[in-house]
Amino acid sequence: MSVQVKQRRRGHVEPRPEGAVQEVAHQFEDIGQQNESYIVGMWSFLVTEIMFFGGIFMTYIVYRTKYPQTFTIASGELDWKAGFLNTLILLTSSLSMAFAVRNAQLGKRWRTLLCLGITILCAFGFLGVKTVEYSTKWAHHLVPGPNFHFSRHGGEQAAPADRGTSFVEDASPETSGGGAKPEGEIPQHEAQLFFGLYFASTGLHGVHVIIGIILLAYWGGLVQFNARAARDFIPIEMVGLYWHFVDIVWIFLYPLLYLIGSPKL
Amino acid sequence: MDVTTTEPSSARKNYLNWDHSWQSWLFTLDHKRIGILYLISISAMFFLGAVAISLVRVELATPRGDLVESETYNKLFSAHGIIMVFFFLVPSIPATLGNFLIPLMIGARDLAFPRLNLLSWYLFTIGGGFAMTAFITGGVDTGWYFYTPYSSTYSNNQVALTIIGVFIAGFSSIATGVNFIVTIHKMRAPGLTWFRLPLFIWAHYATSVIIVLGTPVVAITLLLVLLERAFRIGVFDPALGGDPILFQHMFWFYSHPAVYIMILPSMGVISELMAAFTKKRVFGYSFIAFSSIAIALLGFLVWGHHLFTTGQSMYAGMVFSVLSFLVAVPSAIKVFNWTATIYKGQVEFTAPMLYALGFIGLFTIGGLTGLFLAAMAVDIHLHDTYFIVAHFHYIMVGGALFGYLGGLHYWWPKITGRMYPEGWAKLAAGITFVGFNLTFFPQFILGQMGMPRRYHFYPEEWQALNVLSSAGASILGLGYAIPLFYFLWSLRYGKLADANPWRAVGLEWRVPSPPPAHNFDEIPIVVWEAYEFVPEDADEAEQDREAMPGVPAGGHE
Amino acid sequence: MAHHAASAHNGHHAEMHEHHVMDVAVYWKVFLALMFFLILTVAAAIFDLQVIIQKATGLNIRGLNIMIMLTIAVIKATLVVMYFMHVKDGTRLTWIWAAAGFVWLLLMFAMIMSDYIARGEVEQAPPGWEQIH
Repeated sequence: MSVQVKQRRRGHVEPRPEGAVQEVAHQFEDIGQQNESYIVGMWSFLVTEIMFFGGIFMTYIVYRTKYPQTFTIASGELDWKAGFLNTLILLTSSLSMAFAVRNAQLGKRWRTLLCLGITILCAFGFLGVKTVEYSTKWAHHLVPGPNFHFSRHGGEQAAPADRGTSFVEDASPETSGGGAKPEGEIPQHEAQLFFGLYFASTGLHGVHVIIGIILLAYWGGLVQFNARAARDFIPIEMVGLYWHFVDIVWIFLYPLLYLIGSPKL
Repeated sequence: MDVTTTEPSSARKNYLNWDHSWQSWLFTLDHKRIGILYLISISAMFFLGAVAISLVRVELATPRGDLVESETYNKLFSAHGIIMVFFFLVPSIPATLGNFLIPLMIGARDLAFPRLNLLSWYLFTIGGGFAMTAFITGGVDTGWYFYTPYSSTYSNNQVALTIIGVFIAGFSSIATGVNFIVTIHKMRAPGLTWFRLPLFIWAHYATSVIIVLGTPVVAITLLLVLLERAFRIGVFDPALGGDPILFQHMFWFYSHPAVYIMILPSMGVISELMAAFTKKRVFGYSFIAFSSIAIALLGFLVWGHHLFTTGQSMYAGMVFSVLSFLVAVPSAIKVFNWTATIYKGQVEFTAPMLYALGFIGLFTIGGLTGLFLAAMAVDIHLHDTYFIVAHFHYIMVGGALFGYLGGLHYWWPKITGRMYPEGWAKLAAGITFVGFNLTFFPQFILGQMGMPRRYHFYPEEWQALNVLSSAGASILGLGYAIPLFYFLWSLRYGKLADANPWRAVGLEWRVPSPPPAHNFDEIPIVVWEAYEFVPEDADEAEQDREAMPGVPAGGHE
Repeated sequence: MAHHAASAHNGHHAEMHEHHVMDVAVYWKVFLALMFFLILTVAAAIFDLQVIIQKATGLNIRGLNIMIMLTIAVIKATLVVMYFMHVKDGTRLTWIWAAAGFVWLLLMFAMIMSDYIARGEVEQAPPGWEQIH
């Protein structure tokens, strides 16, 4: 009496009113349950990602409050214009990702593919700019390690005379005259911490971008060959959630790393 | 793990015998089989961790360092800690019993993401492989918490490899956590509301929340240690302007809640055992349910009590101290409610119940000694002594491990379709209890006398207590070994179990033992409350079981 | 079927919760807003409001710039979460999990920073301490 029976509806295909076709996996009862499971699952995974990057941000907060001056000076060494370009690229990629999801929802295969393609292109653009930035830092001995040496190159080829106008006023004449010896001014370890955090955070973010490219390409490929799995829009939406998250991380990284050093136009 | 084909139990297709090929095991998406894979892996890990600590206990039988050198000693206790914490206790109950039982208990055919579940086991195995490689190729001597700058700058052994192993195992635990959260939210059978759920499920939900919120933080922290080792970026090295206490903060932000990852599932098991062996609804159901959530959330706010003596601000210490006292409240609520459940119940002293009763006593001792350590002034005396060691072993072994063993006995008939030998099991439970107390109670006294942990020699006057502790450890080892033998024995020779050998309630007892691969022929609709025992009218309960489609009433086949 | 009544308890909103397909215009508007805020952030960094206010009124608000930039970043992130990530149309459960990470992260920041802020405040020995020892 107390047990009633529910009909099983496993493995059936449900056409969406909007156009996409979804298949119910065996462990789910209906498509609503399946879709929301994926969304909640992805969000709880993103919670772990938030906490993961949160650890880096935590470290950043601690050392920025500990060494505010050095962080400001060291931040001036980053190329805020390159960062601006990258933010632009990532936001654009987020827009095209959002459109990819929308087209997948509507079951528009070719448009989905086009949008995924644009997203991937943007991602490669982002990595390209990042590579240029990294190689500049390498050339300037700003990669933490035994070769680290921070002397202000003044971001955009600033002349040595430029130095006096910057943050620290009391540079003694012999160090500013020496050209390459401003160590008395900027503690090397503190600067190395900034660049360590710069490389750790942007590097981890970069790894996420690369994973994003792989995911996008994989699902793009499935859509291309019209695989059964790719008729469902939910996987694309999942990739989208991930990609937007990567974007959000950058939204915070950009001002914290590039813009705290009073950039000049 | 095969069930022999000559036995009648194999007449019915179940999750164990529908396919015997190794591929069907290694590529299985069935939560029950993945649970078994985990069971085998973590048992192997437990064995390795136990071997490491046996050597430590043998060394400590004499005051001189005569068996191993100090360096080897450091590597042994580090291996013990790392294996037991990251590769045994964290996955122990969730990945085996949780994996096996959650879908059965909530009336689902599988976890929400079966492939993620399999991936989790592979990640665990790969992580374990890295850690094992590290131990074989030189070992690691940092202790399980990798304190910087020793681990990041000075230690010249396999820290990097070990950290990579722990990092990967962390992802396996995250995968499990995400899977459980979604499954418990979305896969419950119709009618199975939150307050009809078994408390085991509540405990696992709370555990999963901790896993998801905490594990990534330790992952990034250990990654920073790796980066520090590779590039000397200096985040945790005071010589380079970094702050080692930041490492401790971020490490314990995960690793203190991780204690609750280990103990909460065990508490869930105890709730089930209490109901099943007193034949009563658990007293204060909603209090126990909410105290799980409260422990999960409050547990995140107390980590600073690990830093009382390491340079944390005194004010922060005071806040953390008060919060640490607070977390005792939900834990005590649970203990009181379990005790109240026994009152006027029909208590059956089966082996699982013996473990459960042991849990309550030992957990109470462990918890109360924890309050000593949460008091700042007392902690300064007891910090890094054997008192701490005894305290957390009362929680981890007396609590988490007893719950695990109790649960394993209780659900063994469901998992394998065979009963374990009750007499031997009771004996083993008794031996474990005696051996455990003999091992760790002397350590409270040693710690109070000031014996510091992690040294391989000590003054003569502490020898008597240390010998007692080592003797207890060998009894404890015997207590662990006996179940291993009779569990394996029971796979072939054990009495066949019917669907519900304990006459317990709960959806998992309404399917045959062992369950079919798809769990439920039809998804049940739940219209009864949790732990609804019907003692005066047993016939009706029997009818219920008969009415359940696909379940033969009153016995096996 | 009886199951509809039962599954309402269960939180499957299969019937109620359809996936909203957002308007193209919404995405474009959000994108333009993001662009606007991006330029605003950079402007706030270049034309240092802190310096300007100090020159005009003599009032030095420390950390004003970083606060402005972070506020803008929070707004941008919220826009992305709400519209691009569809949380706006999500169920309550999605809302909870979307918020959980950010809330918990702030908690971690607050707890750890509370230690750093309070460091070194009470290193002074109480009066009469020397006589005891």
